[in-house]
Amino acid sequence: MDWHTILIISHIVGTVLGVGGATFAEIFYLKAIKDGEIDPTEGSFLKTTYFILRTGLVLLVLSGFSMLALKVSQGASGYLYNPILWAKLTITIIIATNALLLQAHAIPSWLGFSLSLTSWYAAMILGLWRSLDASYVAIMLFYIVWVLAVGFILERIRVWYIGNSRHTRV
Amino acid sequence: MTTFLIAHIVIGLIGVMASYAVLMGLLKKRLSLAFLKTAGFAAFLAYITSWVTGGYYYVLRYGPVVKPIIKDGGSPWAHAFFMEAKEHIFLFMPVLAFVLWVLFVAAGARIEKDARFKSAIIALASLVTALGIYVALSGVVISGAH
Repeated sequence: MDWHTILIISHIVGTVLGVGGATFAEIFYLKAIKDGEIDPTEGSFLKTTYFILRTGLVLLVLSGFSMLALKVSQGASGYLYNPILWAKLTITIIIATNALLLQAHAIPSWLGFSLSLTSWYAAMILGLWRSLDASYVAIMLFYIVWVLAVGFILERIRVWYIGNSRHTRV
Repeated sequence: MTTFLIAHIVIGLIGVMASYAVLMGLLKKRLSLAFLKTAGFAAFLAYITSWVTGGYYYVLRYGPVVKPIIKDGGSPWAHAFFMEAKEHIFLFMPVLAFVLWVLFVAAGARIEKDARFKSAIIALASLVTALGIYVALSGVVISGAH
């Protein structure tokens, strides 16, 4: 197996862990706050999920930059000004910064969770959609609209789910 | 020579991730001094190693071969701005990372007790991480210019 294949596999595994982790973080969090408090078991599940998310991020970044280094060493440097690549780099920085802001409680939770979920899916879609012909600005504008839309939808689901569970318990 | 470039990129990236881990560790409710010391030292070690491998590549390959191609090509600003900034910022990154690590070793117990001291350390760790990200992205810009 050559280096390129190993890096591609690592990149895909990192993305899978990130997308899966972000999805389950949202589901576990929703279930955990249903009764108004996060008990130790729920906290443990969330902690494990966040660990998986961070492992995915480390794999994604390391394999991604290693692939860039490999391409540069092979003389294929034209790819480095591709708008999709820069959109992916920007979104990866947003994922990392968002994790810090969530840790510091310096961002509204609806926006933080939406940014996490949307960014991981956006990174995956941009990685797979090779034929996408769009400028950096167009991709990022679409991404911002998507973050706000997902934030709104998640908040509606949260209100509906918690409201329903409280109604059921009464 | 390619090995030095790849080592410079990957080890530098490990340094940025270690700095990020330090920042994340500082923002947690319960600080783990052992984690901060380990991550802080990993960041310092990675930056100094990336600095040496990058410097070796710069002197023997980038300066005499790559730089003239970029300056005569379609994106001379990549060297004039990004490389010039990157190479000067990189000079003090291992020093900043070393200061952070020394603070954890020598004054780690004070971080939890003194909020102002903790804020100052968080600011320093944020600066190191942000500069690390800037230097890494500048590398992508420069690599794409030739």
